[in-house]
Amino acid sequence: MRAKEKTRGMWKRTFSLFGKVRIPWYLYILQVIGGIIAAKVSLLYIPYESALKTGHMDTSDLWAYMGLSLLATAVGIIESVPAFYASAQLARNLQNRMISRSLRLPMPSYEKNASRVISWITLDAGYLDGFIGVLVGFITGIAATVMSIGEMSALDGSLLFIVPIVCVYVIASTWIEGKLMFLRERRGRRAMSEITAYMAEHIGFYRQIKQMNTGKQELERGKKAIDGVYRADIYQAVMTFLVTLFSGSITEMISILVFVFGSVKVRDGTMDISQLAAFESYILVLYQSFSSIPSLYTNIMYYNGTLFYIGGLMSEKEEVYRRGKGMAQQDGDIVFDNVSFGYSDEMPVIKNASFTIPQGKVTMIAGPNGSGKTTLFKLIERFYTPSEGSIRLGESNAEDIHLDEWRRSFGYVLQEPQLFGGTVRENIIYGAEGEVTDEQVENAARLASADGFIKELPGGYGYGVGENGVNLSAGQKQRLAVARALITEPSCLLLDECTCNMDARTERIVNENLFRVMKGRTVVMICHDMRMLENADNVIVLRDGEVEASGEKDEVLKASATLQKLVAANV
Amino acid sequence: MRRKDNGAPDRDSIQIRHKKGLWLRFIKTFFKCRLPFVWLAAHIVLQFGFITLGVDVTDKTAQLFAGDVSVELVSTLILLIIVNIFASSLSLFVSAVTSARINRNMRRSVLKKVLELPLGFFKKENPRDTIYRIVNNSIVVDSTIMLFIIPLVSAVYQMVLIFGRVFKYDWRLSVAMIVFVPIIAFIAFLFGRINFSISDRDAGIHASLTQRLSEMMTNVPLAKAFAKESSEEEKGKSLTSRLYRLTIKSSWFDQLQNLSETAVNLLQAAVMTGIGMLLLNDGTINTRGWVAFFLFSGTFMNAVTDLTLVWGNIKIIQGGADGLVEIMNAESEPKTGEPCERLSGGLKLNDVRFGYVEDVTVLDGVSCEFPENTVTALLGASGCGKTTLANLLTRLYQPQSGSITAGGKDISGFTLDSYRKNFTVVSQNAMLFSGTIRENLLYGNEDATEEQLYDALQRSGAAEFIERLPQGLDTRLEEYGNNLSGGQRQKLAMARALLADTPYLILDEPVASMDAVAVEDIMNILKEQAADRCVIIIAHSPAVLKLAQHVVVLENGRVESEGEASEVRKDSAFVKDFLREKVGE
Repeated sequence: MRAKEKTRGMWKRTFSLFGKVRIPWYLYILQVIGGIIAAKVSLLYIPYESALKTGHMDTSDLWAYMGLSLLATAVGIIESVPAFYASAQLARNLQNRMISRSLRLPMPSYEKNASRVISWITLDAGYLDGFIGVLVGFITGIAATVMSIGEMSALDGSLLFIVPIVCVYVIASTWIEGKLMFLRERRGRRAMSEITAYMAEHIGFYRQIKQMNTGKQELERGKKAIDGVYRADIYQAVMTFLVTLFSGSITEMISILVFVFGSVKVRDGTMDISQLAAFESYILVLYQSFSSIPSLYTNIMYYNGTLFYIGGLMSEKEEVYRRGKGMAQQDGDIVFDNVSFGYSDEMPVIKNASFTIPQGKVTMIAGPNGSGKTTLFKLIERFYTPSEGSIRLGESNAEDIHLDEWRRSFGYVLQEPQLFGGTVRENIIYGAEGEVTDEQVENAARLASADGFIKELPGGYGYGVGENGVNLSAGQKQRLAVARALITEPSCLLLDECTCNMDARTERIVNENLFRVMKGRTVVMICHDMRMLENADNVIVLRDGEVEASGEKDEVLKASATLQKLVAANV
Repeated sequence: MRRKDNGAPDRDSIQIRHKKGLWLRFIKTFFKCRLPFVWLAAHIVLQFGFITLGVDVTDKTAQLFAGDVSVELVSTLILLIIVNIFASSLSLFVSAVTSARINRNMRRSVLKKVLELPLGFFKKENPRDTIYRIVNNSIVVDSTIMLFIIPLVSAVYQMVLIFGRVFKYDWRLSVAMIVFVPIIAFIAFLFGRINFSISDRDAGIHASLTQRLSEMMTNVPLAKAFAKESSEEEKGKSLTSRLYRLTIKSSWFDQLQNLSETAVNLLQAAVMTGIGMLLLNDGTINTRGWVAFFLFSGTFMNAVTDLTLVWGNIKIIQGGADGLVEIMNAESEPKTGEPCERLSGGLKLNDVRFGYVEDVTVLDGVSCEFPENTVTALLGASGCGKTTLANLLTRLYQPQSGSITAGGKDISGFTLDSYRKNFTVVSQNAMLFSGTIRENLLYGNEDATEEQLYDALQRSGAAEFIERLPQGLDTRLEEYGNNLSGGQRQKLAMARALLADTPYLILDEPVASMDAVAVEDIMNILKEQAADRCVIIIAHSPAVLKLAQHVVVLENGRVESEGEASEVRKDSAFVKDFLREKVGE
């Protein structure tokens, strides 16, 4: 029942892609025409080839044979040029649509797909061409089948009874092959995914394995995964054996049938030997073109499998950026009104949180590990929507404000900042709108106490930070992230443990600069270092997703046992 | 020499061609990893049998096409065809089994070797991708044998066999057949060369483009945070259109190659049939000879094509062979030395120098002590060499000069295996894997009793959250323990470390993701632990300073000061500065 539903959904999803991506149909039509011409040429060529094959030829046959061979080559090119153009264009168009969609997915959908979307874009975008290619093959296959039957009946109608035999055999063997291949692939994929998981989860911790001295244990586990792949390989070998026995033997079967019945007719004198050879060639052409018909389903399902996921991605809703109104100059406080939220329904992370983050002040969010502090930030950024309650900015409901303007007005600095593989400068100016002067960049870097180390890097601001910033230390990355946030001149700054990897001196300088620059604007910070309380006007204390206390610092310090405990532990 | 970590594999392979002796070393590695010789032999015998049968089938078919339609011939031919079907399926089966066995043996050998390598073999901190690629690459041996050596030998065998058959009909025919082979080979070689350098460069560009696309996709949250969706989309479009142009270019090149190959093949066919017809017309050969020659020349040309295709496979092989040879010939961690029982006594460094690469010194003559029954704090700014020092203590690397002693004995004298059993390291990145919490805790401590388990959980503070889980210790963790919070993962790692009960315990900045209360708890546990062992904590949290008994401060690869906590508080400029900034003392 469910499988059936999934199949139906599968078709719907794949066909939905047709409406969403620009498809170069004229190239596919050219492919069909080219394919039909190619089939015609290969049929034309058969009588001459058969004459040569049986020694019943003269020089003109030889010339015709040569000429048609040349023609076949030319037609082959005519057929394949539109094919590779179509394939490359369609892949590009689909990639563009997928990129555009992935960038605008709401956070929960993005996270659901994030790890796989990369391989969909880089590897699987060609599957849509594969899908259409199967249809193209189907149409040319039917045309060629019809043409070859015509040639055969012109040659000798009495042997035509072999045609249905071949067709039935092809259908049966395709069906069997499809079943066996499916089992084979499934088993193989499962084994490979086990070994991949082992590699990622175990060997990934190479250093720890050395330190824990568990190399022998890991070798045993690894051997288990390897043996799993081996067993799957053997299973595949058996399947391949059966498949080749059935469908690999079709051409031989055809030869046998033609030789047996044809030789009788040659002995009778009702057929000559070169006609027999020609008949064999025709029926081989028929087989090749006909085989695209029953395998249509298997092939289509193969592409469908992957397109199912791509179609799923493309039918995800995009975030709605334009809402009722824009950000006003003076927006007011951020107010959480009875907000609840969880990444999954069973496990609420934030429970009935109500508090106010006053505009133009510094608010600190404190609480033990896992109390939901970072999640609060993600709700403020509107990466997620509360499952209950509402977030307001001044008098307006956050949901009514344009999403892009909203996010642009917040500067968000994470504990582990995301950098990309460009230069230092490119990373700093990432969020800025329009042209940015060198002074602006250097100024932001100075405020983040980053100018010193940047100048010492080879190439300075032009230094490549490497994929995800691997060429920089954790503290350096944090400083770049601070600079990146400051250069956008946000009206509100969200700081999530953003100085935890800096050394004490740098941390002090960065904090001083931050509070100086942001004076009069809103700052919300998560920190474990209770020294930072000194800089805060307001405090929100979270415990297990609930707000234990919130308000002005002195009041909260009196009211919150958790905060008192945290402060006591710190000094 | 270290392997490049993320460069395109094809770039490496170009260099390989100039690396003398790679092939010899590559073949030698075959023998280091038990090959399934019996299966290989069976495969070769079957393959040759299959080829011979195929030639017989063609020969008999020629007889038929030459006009012999006798029942005897037709039934012989049909029998041969049927046997051939079975032979071909069986040959494929045996070849698949042989491949599977080669791959299994190779993967096992490579994995074993990888686990024995010293950490310094890998350039990156986390060598996961490198190792994954290496283990995957171990199929290169299978590719070499099954896609290169055996097809090569088979194609040559088939050509020789056909040449012999045709020679029997007339020697001139056999000459006509082979006369074009060198030209075909030359063209294939020429295109192979050009294609090699073009596709090599293209593969590099392709890899870097897809790399940038995937980075873009990982950074979507960043784009969202800065509302940069549209400009990212533009970047993406320019990447995909570059990929598009690359694909079109190489497709045109393929067309060109295809065209020139077909042209030569046609020429070859023209010459062959031309000569054959001349001989047939002047009566030198009979119809049967002609038909056989015509059919055989087709299979012969196929064999020649196979041969050129096989040469193409060499490229795939070269990419992987390099890595495999390097890893199989790399030196494993030494197994020599004296085995040690449970060690005791403090750790001492005497004038230790070390750097990961030449010219860049990380530890520049470090002498210090980690006394027994004590919690020692190892402090210093980031990049000063703290973690490196810990790596030397666990012998992940060797000091370039100087020595390290444990309880007065030089640690390099012990076997690695027995030595490392004395250490437990807890780092920020705890190794948790999919499986139950219990399995994760028992990893490395199989013999622990249930009682010890609960004790360790209590002391590490992990008991609290585990008790709240409905399935308790049998709760399944997701990959990397992703369904736990950072603090919870840390507590589990701590519990596992306590369970290991080793004389030396190193905590490498374990507290970054823990709150102040948790830090204090851990330090109290450590003090309790330190009663009969040597504990080292690498961190810069004030709570650590407060509770440590002994302090070592590193600065720029040297010891800035060392001594009892109270002394260091007075003497060390670094600590004074640190305390002023952090605690405001």
